[in-house]
Amino acid sequence: MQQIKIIMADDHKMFAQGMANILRREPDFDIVGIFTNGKQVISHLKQEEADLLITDMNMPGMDGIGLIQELKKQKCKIKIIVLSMYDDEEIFKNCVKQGVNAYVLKNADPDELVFTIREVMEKRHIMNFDHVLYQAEDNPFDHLDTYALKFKLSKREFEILRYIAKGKTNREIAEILYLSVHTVETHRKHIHTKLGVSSSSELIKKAIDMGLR
Amino acid sequence: MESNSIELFIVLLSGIFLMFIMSGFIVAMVLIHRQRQVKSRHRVELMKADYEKTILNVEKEIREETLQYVSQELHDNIGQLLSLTKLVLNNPEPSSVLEGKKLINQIIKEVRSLSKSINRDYIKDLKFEDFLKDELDKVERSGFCKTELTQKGTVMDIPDENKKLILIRLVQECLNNAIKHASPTWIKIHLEHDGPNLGLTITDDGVGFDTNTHPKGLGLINLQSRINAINGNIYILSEPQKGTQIKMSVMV
Repeated sequence: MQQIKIIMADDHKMFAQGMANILRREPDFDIVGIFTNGKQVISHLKQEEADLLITDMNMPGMDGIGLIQELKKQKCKIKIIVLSMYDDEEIFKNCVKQGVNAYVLKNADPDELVFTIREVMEKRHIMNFDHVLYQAEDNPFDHLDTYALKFKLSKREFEILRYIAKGKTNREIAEILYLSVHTVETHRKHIHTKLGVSSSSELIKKAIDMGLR
Repeated sequence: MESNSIELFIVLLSGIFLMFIMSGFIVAMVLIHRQRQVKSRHRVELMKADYEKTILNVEKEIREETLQYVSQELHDNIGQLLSLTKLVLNNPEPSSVLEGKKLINQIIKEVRSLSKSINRDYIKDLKFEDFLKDELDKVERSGFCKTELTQKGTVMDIPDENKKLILIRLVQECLNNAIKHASPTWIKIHLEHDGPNLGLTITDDGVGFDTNTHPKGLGLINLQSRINAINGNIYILSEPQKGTQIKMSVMV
């Protein structure tokens, strides 16, 4: 499995360590460094390349925006995901303008950060502010947590399953959830595998059995 | 006989006339004196009102500074810890419950310490040197720059609460200036307490400024008027690129 080299920049040490531990659970995520300001990131990247940078906005010395601008100036090919406490649309728009690849809120569902990382690395991520807010909303499928545990389904997968059960096409689902069609197809394949079904009708039956309507 | 009575009459008349003039003079003196008294009492009252207004403004500014600090801490620290707790507890494994509990204990500690800073009586019970230590700690913890506090002389607290309040606000304003404008690598505060004389020196190695001009946003005139209100002195030494030193002295 190809390792994704990830560096993190966040001045809140406890949060950065906690997040790194959660990401390390993915077998192909390799956290190669955790830094507390932009300057440290720049000097690390001078010695060693990395595939992905996950950065906060507020850091002493060189902050998130300063770091992104410096990396763009140096024409660094590293992918950038902003992980921030700010759910402010102006800040989001500014990040889009600076050329980041994704924006995720710190209080988002942890699965969402993992999905977003994979989408960015596979170049199928769509940036949309409503989606950013949605990622941090409560899980409307909490009552199905026994199924979540049994089949290891995330909030997003439940959502997609629900729309499949309603008869929506992949394209329609992609539009509703601000995802790319490719992403919806990928999730659909995973859902099939997790539920142990091989046809769409079996999938829909399983969804109805769970009470997903 | 008749000339005598006319002379007597003239003398009496001039006597009465002189008396009138003298009493008029005395009345005028009393009136002028009273007017002066009223004027000086009025002046004293104006000065008192001015002083009270300064204290109220300083109290308001300290409150605003505290609220800004609390709002920042809630967002940057407690908010992040809570988000992390949510992430950790999302994991169904039993080890994450223990990790979540530890995080929640940490959050309870942070909330307690924050609520202490909002407490109204905090300033009254606060020792001046503890305040200086706390403020420098805040700067250093945020990773902005290194700080140092040195002391000389017997450490006594400041009995006059208003003087303590104004000194606290002055220190906050000087630190804010250094952070906003100077980009230093270190900020040092030296406190000297010798009997009734209190001396405070705040130094940084930042970009400095030209003391002949009054750069906007430093509130230098404000600093001067506040130290005057407590009969103290302030000296500001600075040169572009050579850092800044602010010396304050006051009798407490």
